[in-house]
Amino acid sequence: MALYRTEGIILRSRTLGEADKILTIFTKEKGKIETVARGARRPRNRLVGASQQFSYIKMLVFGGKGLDQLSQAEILRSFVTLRDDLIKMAYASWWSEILDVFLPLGEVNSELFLFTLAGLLVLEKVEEPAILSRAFELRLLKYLGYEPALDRCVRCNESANILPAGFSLDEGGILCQKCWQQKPLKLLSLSNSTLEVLNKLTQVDLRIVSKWNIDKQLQTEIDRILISFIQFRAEKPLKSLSFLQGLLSWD
Amino acid sequence: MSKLINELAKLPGIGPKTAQRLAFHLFESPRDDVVKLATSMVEAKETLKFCDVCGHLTENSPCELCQDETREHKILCVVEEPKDVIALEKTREFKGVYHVLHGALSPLEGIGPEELTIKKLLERLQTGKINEVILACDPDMEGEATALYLARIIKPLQIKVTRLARGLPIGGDLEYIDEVTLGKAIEGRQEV
Repeated sequence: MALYRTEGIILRSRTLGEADKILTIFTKEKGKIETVARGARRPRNRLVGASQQFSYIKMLVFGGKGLDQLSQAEILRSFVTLRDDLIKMAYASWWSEILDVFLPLGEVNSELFLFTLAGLLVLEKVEEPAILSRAFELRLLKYLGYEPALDRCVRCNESANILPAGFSLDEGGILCQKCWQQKPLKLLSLSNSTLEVLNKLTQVDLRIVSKWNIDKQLQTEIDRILISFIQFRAEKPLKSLSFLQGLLSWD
Repeated sequence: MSKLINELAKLPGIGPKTAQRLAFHLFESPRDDVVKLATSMVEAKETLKFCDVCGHLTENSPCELCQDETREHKILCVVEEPKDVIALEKTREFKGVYHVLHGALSPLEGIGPEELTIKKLLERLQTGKINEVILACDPDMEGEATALYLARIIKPLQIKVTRLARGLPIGGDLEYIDEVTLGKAIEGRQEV
């Protein structure tokens, strides 16, 4: 049994029993952890405010044989804006689900942690989060080791002046015409301008990407490729995605 | 005995030890008490249903609350669960009628608007008999999502939409209140 101090972002909160919660927290020092917040659904409990989804908290956790117990928590940033705006909440939930699905428990990745924190801070401020989300997803995939090959053919590694035949979900990247003709497989169509934007998105500063003015058709193609790729890699339906898409189609 | 323990352990919040204690308690209780408990459980299961109008638990539909002419039928309070109706009724402050959603929107659990009774709510609102909707969802992420979503679809109908105030619990200690709640309390302060 040991007490430890860490800071983290609450990715997910599930109810447990009468008044408790199980929190999935992405921490800086311990990676993704699951911890029980006893009484956190009772209005007067001291953990109630600090155990809200997306909150960035400083905490004292009691590690035991079973699930760790959240002993004390203090809000560093509540990200209340993300809970006060439906679309932003849907995006933040989508990001949380990607992290929850792809990040194994206990795997420390402080760089990804800081990136996630930065992403949420930018999400709070932007008006139109779609393109920001694509940039965030691409970078997230990179940190998680699922980066799609966009600057070279995924099969022959040729990067200079290749003519892409399309994007392969199975192979995780673009395929040049030559490789595709040798062994054809199902591809997602991809124009040169989409590829160019995708490559830019892998490096862009999140703070400026939301100011980009992107053609609607191009945005649709980027959305289709990235979202299909994430779903393919997740190997299961992502619930927050259908929620987000439902909201967006409603607009 | 083990059959009874197993059945009791299926109830929420009841672990194997509590189930065992309850089973022994029932065994030691007078026969009449046990029969009363068993019949009231079966009766509740067989006679209770959801009100066709508001979705609250009732024996007869429409429920008593919906039929009560002394209540203000122009004010509709939207809640997540039937137990929220019971909690609000205990306050004796609210004299309007209710609408139970039977859940809340949850992006991470994949619960969307079609899983709740939102369509029915809109049908009620379109009759034009309601001029204020009070959103009494839980103050957590799912509740916020539901309230924001409902506000967005109700506002175009030209109906006043309000939310329950968020702030300090009675008898609480200010220093232990988290910054978000305190912030909301300052935002929603009232002149005395």
